[in-house]
Amino acid sequence: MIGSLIYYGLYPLTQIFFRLSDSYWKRRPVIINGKAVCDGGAGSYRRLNEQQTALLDQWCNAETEASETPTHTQQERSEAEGLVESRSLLEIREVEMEPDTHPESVMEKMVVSVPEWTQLQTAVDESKSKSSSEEERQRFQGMVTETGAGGFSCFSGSSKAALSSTLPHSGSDNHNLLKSPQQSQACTNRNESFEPTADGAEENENDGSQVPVQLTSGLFTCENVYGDDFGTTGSEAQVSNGSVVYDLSALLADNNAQTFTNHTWLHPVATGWHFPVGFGLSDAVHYPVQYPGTSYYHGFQDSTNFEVMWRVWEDLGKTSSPCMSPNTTCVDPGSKFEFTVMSYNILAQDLLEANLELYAHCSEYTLAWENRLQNILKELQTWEPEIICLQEVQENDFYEQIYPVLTEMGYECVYKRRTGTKTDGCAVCYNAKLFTPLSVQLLEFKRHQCELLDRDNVGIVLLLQPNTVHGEDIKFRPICVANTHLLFNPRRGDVKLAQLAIVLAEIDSVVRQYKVREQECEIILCGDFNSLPNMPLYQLIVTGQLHYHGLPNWMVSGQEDLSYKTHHRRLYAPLWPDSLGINDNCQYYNACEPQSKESGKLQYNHDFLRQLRYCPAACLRPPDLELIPGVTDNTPTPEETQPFPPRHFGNTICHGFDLRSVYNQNISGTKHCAVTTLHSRGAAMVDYIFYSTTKGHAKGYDDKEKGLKLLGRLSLLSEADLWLLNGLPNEMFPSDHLSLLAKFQLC
Amino acid sequence: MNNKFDALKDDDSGDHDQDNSSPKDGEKERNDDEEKDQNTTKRKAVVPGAGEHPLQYNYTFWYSRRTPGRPASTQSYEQNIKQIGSFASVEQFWRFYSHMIRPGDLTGHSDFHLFKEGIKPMWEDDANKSGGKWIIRLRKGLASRCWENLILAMLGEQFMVGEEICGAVVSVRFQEDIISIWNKTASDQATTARIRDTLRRVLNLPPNTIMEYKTHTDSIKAWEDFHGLVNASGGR
Repeated sequence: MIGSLIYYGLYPLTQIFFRLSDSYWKRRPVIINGKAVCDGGAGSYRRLNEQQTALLDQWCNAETEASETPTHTQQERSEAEGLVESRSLLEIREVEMEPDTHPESVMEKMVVSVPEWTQLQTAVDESKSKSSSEEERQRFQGMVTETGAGGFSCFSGSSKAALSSTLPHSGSDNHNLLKSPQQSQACTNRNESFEPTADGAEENENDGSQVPVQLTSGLFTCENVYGDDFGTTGSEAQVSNGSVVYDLSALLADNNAQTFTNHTWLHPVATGWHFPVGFGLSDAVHYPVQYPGTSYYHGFQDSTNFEVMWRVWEDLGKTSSPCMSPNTTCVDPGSKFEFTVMSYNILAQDLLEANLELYAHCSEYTLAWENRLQNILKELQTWEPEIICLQEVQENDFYEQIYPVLTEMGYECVYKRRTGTKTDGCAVCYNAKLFTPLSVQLLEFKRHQCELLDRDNVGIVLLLQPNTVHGEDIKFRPICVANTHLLFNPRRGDVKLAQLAIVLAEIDSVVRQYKVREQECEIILCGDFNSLPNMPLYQLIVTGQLHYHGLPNWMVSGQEDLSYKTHHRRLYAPLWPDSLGINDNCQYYNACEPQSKESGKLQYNHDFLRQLRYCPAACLRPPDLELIPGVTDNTPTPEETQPFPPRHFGNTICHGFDLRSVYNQNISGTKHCAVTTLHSRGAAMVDYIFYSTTKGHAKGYDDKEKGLKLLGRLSLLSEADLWLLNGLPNEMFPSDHLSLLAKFQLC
Repeated sequence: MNNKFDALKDDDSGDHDQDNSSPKDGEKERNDDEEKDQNTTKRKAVVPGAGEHPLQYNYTFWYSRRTPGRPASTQSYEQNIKQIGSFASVEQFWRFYSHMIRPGDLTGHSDFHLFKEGIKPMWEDDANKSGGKWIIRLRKGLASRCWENLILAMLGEQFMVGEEICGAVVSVRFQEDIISIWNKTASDQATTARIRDTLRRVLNLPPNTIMEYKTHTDSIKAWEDFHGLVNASGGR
C-alpha cells in the first residue's frame, strides 16, 4: 500500500522510466526484424545508417517484409531516411498521451512490442499471462531488465562503470544529486547525465530493486558504445546523446517542477535523431540553450582555472617510451636535446569575416582581431615553443604584428602565403639559437596543368639542424619540420590526398639527401589536415599505406558523413596524374635519382625504372644485338599499355616514414573525443602533430636509441568542455582551433 | 656429358639442379669463333650515354637454350650460352630488354641470365664458386612479371647487400618456370635473409610461396650425381 502511494506520488518520474523503457522497447523491434542482432540496438542502427546506406537499404527492405509486426512499429519502417524521424514523432505522440494513460496501458504497449524481440520471448509470455497489477509490473520490469542486461553483456565494462557511479546515489533524491559536486561534474559527461533519471526511476521502484537502473544505463551505454567504437561517427553519436542530455538536463535544471505538463522539450530529440549529417547544427542550436550560462556546472567550474593553463600538461616522459626501451634511455644529459613544437591554426581574420555564420555564438569582442591577436601572442609567449607551426596566418597581420613579436622573442620565421587571392598562409618559426636551417622548401599545391590540384593550399618543409649547446661533438640528427594546411572541402578527399602526397614527397626528398650521406633525419609533420582521426587520410599518414580503390571521396577525410547521398564520387587509380612527378610511394620520380655516383648506391625503384621503358633512347635497337628469332626479335611498342603496369594499378599509395600522432583520438583517461577545432558547424580533431618513430626500421642496428621521444603534450578538450566555454573562439582561446603542443626529446 | 666439365666446367643457373634437365646441346649453327668472341673476349667497355641514368654496375644479358634431340654430350654448357649484350645505364637496359622476347613467351627449354659484367652465369666463376642462389618456382604465366620485377630490383640496387648480388636467371621449363638470384657468399646468412625478404617484397609473392636456397657446391654435387646416374643408364 505504502508502495503504491509512493508510486503515485512519484508518478511523473515513473513516466521518465516508462518513456525510456518504452523507447527502448520500440527501438529493439526495428532492429530485430531487420536483422536478428542484439548488439546495441539503436546504436547499431545508427552505425549502419551512417556508414553503409546500401546495407541500410537492405535492412529496410527486410523490415518491410516482416509483416506480422504491430501497426505502430510498421509505421516506423517506412523509408530509410524517414525511419528515425517517424519513430521520434511517435515517441512524442505517445509521451504526450501518457499523462492520461494508466500505467497498465503503457504496459500493454510494451507487451505488444515485446514479442518482436525474440530474446525476450519467455519474459513476455510470463508477463502476458499475468494481470498488470503494480507488483506484477515491477516483476516484469525486473525480468525485462535482466534480459536487457543479458543482451548488453558485451558492454558490461562500460555499463558497470556507469552503474557503479550510479549506485552510491540510489535512494537519494534529485536535489541532493544536483548539489553533489561530483554529480554535477559527472553531468558534463553525456554518458552519465542519465543517472539522475535512473535514480528517479529507482526511487519510485521503492523496493530497492536496482535493476531498472541497470536497464537505463545499459540502454545508454549501448548508445555510447557505438559512439566510442566509431570514432569517425562519434561526433554524430553526440547528436543522439546530446539530445538526450538536453532532455534530462533541461528537466533537472528545472527540477522544482518535476512534471511533464510541458512536453516541448522533447522536440530536440526529434531533430537530433533526424539530423542526417553531423553534430554541427543541432549542437550549435541546442547547446547554448542546453547550458543556459554555466551555472549548472558550478562544481566543475570551481575546480578549474579558466586560463590557458586549464589545458593540462600531460607528462609522457616516464610512462610511454615510444622510441626506446627503458634500459636504453640516454643517460648522458649532454646527448639529449629537448624541444617543444606547437601547431596552431590561428584563424585568419579575413576568413573569420567571410564566414561569420560559423561564429554566431561568439561575442564581437572575442572576434575582434586585436583581442584575438593579443591572446594568440600570449599563448605563444606562455609556451615559447622552440618550433611554431602556424596555419591561417594572414599575410599583413603576420608581417605587421606577429613577425615583429616573434623576432623579438628570438624566432626566425618562414612564411608562405596561399596562392591565388587568398590572404592567409602557413608559417614556421623556430628558435634561432637552437636551430640552424639546412633547407627551406615552400610548397604550392596548385598545378596549372592539373585539374585535380587547382586549389590554393600551401605547405612549408624545413630542415633544421639542432645546435649543440654543450660544445661537445655530439651531433643531433636534423629535424625535418613540415607544416601544411590541406584543403577544407570535405568532399574532395582526392585533392587532400594529392596535396598530402606533395608534402610527403618533399619530406622524402629532403630526408633522402641526408640518407645518401648515411644520415637519418627525424620528421615532424604538423598542421591542419582537415581530416578526422582514423579516416583514410590519417591512416595513410600513420600506417604508411592506403588502399584507396573505390573509396568514396568524402570518406577520405571523414569530416562529414555524406553516405546518405545516392551517388558518390570514388577514388580510382591513378589518384593523381603522372605530371605531378610523384609516384605511389609519395616520392618524386627523380628523387630516386642519385646525386652522384660516389655519394652512395645508385638506387632506383621500379616505378622510376619503368618510367624510362619507352624513352627514345630505349627504343633504338642496340646495334650489337644479334637477331635471334623468338628471342631477340621483339619490337618495343610504346603505344600499347605497359605489359606490367606500375604500382598505380595496385590501387595503393604508401610512404616510407614511421609516423605517429602526438595526440590520441580520445582525451587521456576518458572516452571523450578530443577536438582541435570547433565552430557552429561542428567540432572535430583535424590538426595533428606527427613525429617519426624508429619502430621496426631496418636501419642501423646501433641507432636504436636514437630518435624522437615524446615527453609530453598539452591536453586537448572535448567538445562539451569547449561549449562550456561558449565554444570557439572565446575569451581564452582566440581561434576556432586549439593549439597543439608537444615536447620531444631528441637523442 | 662429362665433357661439359672437361671443357669448361660451366653450368647453367636454374637449369640442371631444378628440374635436373639434361645438359645443353650446342646450337650447331653457332660459329665457335663467334661464341668465343662473345663469351670470353673482352668487349669494348660499355658506358652510360650522355644524360642517361647510370647503373651502379654494368650488367650483361645471356641467353641459353637446349636444343631438343641433340646429343648433349658433344656440346659444352658454355657453348650453349651466349651473350646478348651489356649495358651501363637504365636506358641501355631497356634498349636490350625491350627487344627481347619476354620469358613467358619463350619457347622450349630456355634461360635468360642477367649477370654483372665480368661474372659468367656459371657455378665455377670466381664470383660464384662459394655462392648460392635463391630459387622460386613459378606456375606458368607468372614468369614474365616476376622476372621483370626481379631484375629491376637488382638493377635498382634494392637488395641492399653491398656487392653480394651476382646475377639472376629465369629458366623456362615445360611445366613451370624458375627464377633465381645468385649471390657471392652462401654462408652469409644475414645477406641471404635480406635477399629473401627483398624478393618477397618486390615479387609480391603469395605468402605460401616456397623459396629455396641452394649453394652452388650442392648444385654441382647434385648435378654430378644425377648425371653420373643418367650416364650409367644411358643418358637422356
